Amino acid sequence: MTSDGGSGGGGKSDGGGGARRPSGRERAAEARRRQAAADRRRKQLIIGGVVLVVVVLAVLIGVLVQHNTSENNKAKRNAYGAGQPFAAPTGVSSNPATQADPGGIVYGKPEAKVTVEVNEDVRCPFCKIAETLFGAINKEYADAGKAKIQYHLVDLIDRVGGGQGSLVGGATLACAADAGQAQFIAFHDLMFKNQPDEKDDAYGNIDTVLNLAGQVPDLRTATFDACGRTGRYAAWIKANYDWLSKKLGGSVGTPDIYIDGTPVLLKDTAAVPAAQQQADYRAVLDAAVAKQG
Amino acid sequence: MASKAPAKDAPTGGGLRGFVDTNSQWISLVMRILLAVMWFWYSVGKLGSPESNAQNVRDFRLLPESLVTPFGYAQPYLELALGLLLILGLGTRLVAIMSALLLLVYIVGIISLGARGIYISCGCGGSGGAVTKGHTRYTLDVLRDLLYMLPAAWLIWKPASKLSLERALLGDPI
Repeated sequence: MTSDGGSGGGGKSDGGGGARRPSGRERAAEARRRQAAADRRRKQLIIGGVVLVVVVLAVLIGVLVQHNTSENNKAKRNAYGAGQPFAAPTGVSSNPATQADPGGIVYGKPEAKVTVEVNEDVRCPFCKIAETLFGAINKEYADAGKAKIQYHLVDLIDRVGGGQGSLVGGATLACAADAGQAQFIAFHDLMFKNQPDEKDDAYGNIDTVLNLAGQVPDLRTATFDACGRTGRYAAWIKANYDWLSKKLGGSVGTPDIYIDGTPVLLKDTAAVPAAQQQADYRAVLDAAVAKQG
Repeated sequence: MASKAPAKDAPTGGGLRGFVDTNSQWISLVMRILLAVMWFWYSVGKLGSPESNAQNVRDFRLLPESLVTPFGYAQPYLELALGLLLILGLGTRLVAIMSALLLLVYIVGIISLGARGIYISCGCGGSGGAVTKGHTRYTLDVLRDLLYMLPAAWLIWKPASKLSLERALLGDPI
């Protein structure tokens, strides 16, 4: 199959002997050449076979090793919050919260007419961008009593990228809802502000998350720490992922934001400037508020 | 070994052609290394995180779900194997053909993304994931893979190279 080089001298065995019979020596040389050529072809075939075997083995080993790694990752994820029954944090949007309808953590007055649904993952970089652009606006409308925000926290990045930061970080953030809306939103903003690189699973370490929570006033109590360490709301995070997956027809992407059911798409800030997107976002919110009277 | 042409007609070593002829085995060595480095580079970024590579494959929405995971898992190891064989210089033409085919798969995949209006950060070299419209670099990605086709094409044409295990095994001058 390979190696055209180095075979300079061969060939010309056909026409050469037209008039004259080849001598014994020439015939012996010709036989040796043929033998050498046959040996060479045989070696090349073997090399080709070895190459194919190497490639096939690489594929098989790859599938086995990666499958193993993936199973280990899954086992680690499942270990967090294992044995805890399903429970939802205080003040979620569905009552009662169930596995099928786990609800979102509400920020703002529950009786506010406009609902902003925010489906996000504490590890997801585009969620951080969405929070940077729209987080303050959400808070402003919620604090003014015009809208309530429902945060559905999911573990998308863990599932598609490995690790457990979405789960541990998200479940611990959910614990903050038990302490109160003010603590929740402060910790929420802090987590996105300090979000590690997508490939860095820093939030998978509960101590890192709890240390960060220490910056939020009146949050870190023994109850809060225990809630985070035991993974009390791990099942709630996973239930929210399943809920969102069902809602989106199996293809989960975050951030996924709706204002009274109207999806708001985060656009590339290079294409649509941040200020424009914020103005558009306000316009949708204002329209929803006006519509609700 | 190649033409010790008499200094009359053939311009010995004259111009690019002469240079290529006299040094083709060294050029092939360079091409082997280039292609191998590319495969190592492609492979290393994916080895650590099977889930994210499977997801990158899934994002292309080309393979049926039952094939997404096996392909995503095997892909970095296949790339690693191709790189390794190129460095060793074993079955160079066969490996170059497989390299070209795999690159072709990538190129077709990326082009089809653009054609179907799917916006992802194509994960051949780096991170993947969905991106917003306008954030894609499909043209660059395709150009990059086309560029990598060049060493593969050269090696299919001239697989014989310096310092290759294959030639040592065949008893040719290495």
